[in-house]
Amino acid sequence: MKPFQYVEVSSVDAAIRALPADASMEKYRREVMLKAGGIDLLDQMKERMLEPDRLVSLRGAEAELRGIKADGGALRIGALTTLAELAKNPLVKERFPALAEAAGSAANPQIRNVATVGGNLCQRPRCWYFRNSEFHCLKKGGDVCFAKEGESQYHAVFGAGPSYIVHPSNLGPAAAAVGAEFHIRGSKGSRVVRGEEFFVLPEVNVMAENVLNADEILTEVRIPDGIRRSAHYEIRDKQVYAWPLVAATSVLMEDGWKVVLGAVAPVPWRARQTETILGSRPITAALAAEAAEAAVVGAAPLRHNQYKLQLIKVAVRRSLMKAAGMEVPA
Amino acid sequence: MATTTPRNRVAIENDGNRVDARAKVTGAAKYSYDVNLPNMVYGTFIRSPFAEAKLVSKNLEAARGIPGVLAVEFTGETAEYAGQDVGYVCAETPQLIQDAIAALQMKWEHGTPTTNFRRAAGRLPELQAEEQAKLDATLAKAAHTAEMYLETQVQHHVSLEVHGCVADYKGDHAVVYASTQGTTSFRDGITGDLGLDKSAVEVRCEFIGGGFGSKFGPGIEGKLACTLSKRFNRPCKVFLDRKEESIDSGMRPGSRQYYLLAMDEKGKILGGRNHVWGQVGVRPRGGNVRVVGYDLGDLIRSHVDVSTSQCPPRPQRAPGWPQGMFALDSIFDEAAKACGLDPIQFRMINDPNPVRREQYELAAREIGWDRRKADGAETGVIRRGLGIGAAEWHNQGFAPASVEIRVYPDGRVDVFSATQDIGTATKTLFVDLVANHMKVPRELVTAKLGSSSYPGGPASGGSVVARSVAPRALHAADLATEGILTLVAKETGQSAESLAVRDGAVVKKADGAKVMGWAEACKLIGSDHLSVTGTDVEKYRGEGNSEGVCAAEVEVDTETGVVKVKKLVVIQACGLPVSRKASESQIVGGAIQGLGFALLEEKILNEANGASVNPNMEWYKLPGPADMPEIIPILHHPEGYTGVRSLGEPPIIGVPGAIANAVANAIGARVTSLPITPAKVLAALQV
Repeated sequence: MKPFQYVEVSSVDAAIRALPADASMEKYRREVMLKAGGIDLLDQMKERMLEPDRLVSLRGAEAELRGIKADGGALRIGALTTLAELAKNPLVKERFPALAEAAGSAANPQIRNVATVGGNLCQRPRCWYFRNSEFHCLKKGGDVCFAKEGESQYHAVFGAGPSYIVHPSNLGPAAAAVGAEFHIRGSKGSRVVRGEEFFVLPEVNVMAENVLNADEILTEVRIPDGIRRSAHYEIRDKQVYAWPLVAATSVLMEDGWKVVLGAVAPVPWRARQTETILGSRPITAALAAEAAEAAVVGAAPLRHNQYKLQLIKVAVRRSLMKAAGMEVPA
Repeated sequence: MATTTPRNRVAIENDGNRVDARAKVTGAAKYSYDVNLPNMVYGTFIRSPFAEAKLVSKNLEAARGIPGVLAVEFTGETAEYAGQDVGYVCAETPQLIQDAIAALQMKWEHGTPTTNFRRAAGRLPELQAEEQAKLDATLAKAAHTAEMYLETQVQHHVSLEVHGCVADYKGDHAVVYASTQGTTSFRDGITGDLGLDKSAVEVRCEFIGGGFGSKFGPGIEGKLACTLSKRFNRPCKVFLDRKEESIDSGMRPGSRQYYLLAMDEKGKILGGRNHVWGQVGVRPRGGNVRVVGYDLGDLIRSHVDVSTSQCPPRPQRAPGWPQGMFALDSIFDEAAKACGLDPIQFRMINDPNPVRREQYELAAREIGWDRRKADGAETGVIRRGLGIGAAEWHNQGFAPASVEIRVYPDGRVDVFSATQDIGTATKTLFVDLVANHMKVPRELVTAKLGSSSYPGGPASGGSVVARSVAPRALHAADLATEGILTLVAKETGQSAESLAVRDGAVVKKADGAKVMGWAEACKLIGSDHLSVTGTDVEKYRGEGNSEGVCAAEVEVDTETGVVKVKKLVVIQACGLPVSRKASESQIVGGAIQGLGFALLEEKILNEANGASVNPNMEWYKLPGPADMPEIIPILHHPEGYTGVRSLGEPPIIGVPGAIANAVANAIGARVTSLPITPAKVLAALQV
């Protein structure tokens, strides 16, 4: 790991001032980076994927950034809230159980106690080509995505090309499903990006997975009112300290069912045909199965991830049934 | 956790903790990785990122020019496998060695590595005419046959403490703090690098964070530390990082195994054919498998090793056995089915080992084998299955060793051996054996292990340590007791033969009357200590062996292919069992490692350039706490097993086969290659 300067700031404004204005993401990653929980950052720095001169710790700005508050029927979740806090929060469990479930099944207890909501939503891909220095891949400025012809068992079946990563966020599908507001502050002011619009496909920008600019900070995620039912369902070969093979979040909002998949595409992936079939109808086993079949329409599996299509169908069906209060295998 | 059965007895009825439990859980135990000496320098290797690779350019001057970088040397410019060393760096800090490697700005080219083992293995070779005739004759007599190809993956050791050492060369002698499972074998590998006689080199290893067969000699890392320490006349630390550990510290070779078994109408195996391809590293060796002593009739066996572009294998817990028994126990269940027999019935017909035959029945009772349905008879989304697998260990011979016991005037007893506690609780074994044999309180006895300067003891390999040191420790214990009794006899004017030690006191043999307390007796030693050395005396060896049986219960989600192991019953004989808790812990460890091999672990190479894609514990999947089934370790102590025998390795052997058979029983289709992933289960189910 390259030596770096460690800067503590006591406010979001001070953190923004410490960031390079009008800089490219490449410059940001080279010169100065924000540190929240530090889980993802440390991994990348140890592999020398990132060698910033300076780290700006947001810990001193916890008063502004950490905590879960009710705002009428909505929930405001500070970016520095830990996954453990999210998983056990009574308001979240009551109003948006899918989000609490997704947070509670991430990684392991030690990591959940440190990893933050902002960090989880903004972390870089866990792709084993991206994470190993031997592979100078597209996302590191190279000219090839090694997964396309290589070991693709954990890679994308939707929305991919030129990069085949899957978006790693455990919370992303739930946030996208409800159209959560991503509150962003930067040197030019504040903005709000809604739901899926926060995430970016590689065909738009292969060097990033979201819309954040180099001088911007994700400060808060606002979960809207009107969630009637929700459930998160993951399929895992390993039950702890591992990424789900496939995940699905199903949410019933006032205007109908939203179904978003995790670990299948470079962004949290809306299963739109599934949603069309479902509308606002009450879930039956037969309807869930029919809607789940539609979730794989248009999928383009690689050499080693064909099995994901079956897992997607099962995850969608079971998340819908779970959201409807029906019994599903654990 | 243990189920008590009439045979589940240990030699010494105690529930004592591991003697170093407190030190290990509080962090007081210092591992070699923890050693830092004043004025120390650091070394590491320059490695190739790819297989079949050639270094095209480098900037040696830039790396050497960094202040604090002491040496940057290349030893080669080509590499057969990714991660192979081509040179080394020495610097004042770990950071500087990384900076030096970055400054080299190496450019590499690579050819086409051999990463597709199945393609490299090719087709089943034809038999010689004579053998083919023999096979034809066997098949002509057969009423039933079973035929199958089975495959196992490359498994990594994943020692939590990485490989390496701190070498402290001091001119006329050296002390080396090594993470090793062989203090003396490590020492013998570095005397040349240090330019010292072995009598001037001490290798210490008080605690080790895992070795599993990969830490016998010094390795290139130990030799580099010694070379640099001597060159700079300063202590030198060389430890691999997690990635180096994953790509260049050995592995359990993969395998492809062909079986054709022919049975008569009663299910007795007549013979058949077995061919094994071993998936090894760049040298074609080390890939054969081992199997238990089932009666396989006229089985024609053959084996060939197939080189692939990766580091050479090293022994890994029961080398060859888990892969061999996964395949043999898998084909056994298919053969049983072909004969219309229950898998345990089939083993009763074809397994002549009397101890294991007893264990099958015990396993059946413990797992509830009578609940087992026919393969594929379960319906529903989640299906349960039961499976069985077998294990054994070769207990031939006793490694050279001697054990010194010192008794101090305050009554304390120290036991010395150069052998090390690889984590199997060897220290606890010594303490329990000696305290029990000398009839003194356990608290008075300390095991001093892990220094090559102590009396010679074996490396922790082949599960030889317990069975080799136990007879010597017992001999030494008797000599120490005799020494004390002789002093007491002289003091009290009685014959030593008329005295004995019981419950921490010297007593008269005849009536048990107390003569004096242990501490009082030890005062007679005087100001120094009494020292005795136990050697190889026939009568302390005893008899025994290490048979085992594993029964597994699994739950398979037939829609997702996810397998959850619900219960493992692991029955293991080990001659005379000694420390109950530590022995059961050893069995549980084997069960967990077997589960990881069956369901999760696999070293994966990128096909095009041979680099590992999962050289870390994120994507090299090890079972975690939430993956744990109920594990029931059973120490089986058959009649006549009077000597301490091997326990370290055998508990892993039967587990993968038992799990694979349980999966096949649950879903009515067989996954023929490990690990049994959701993708493979779905493929077997044709979902």
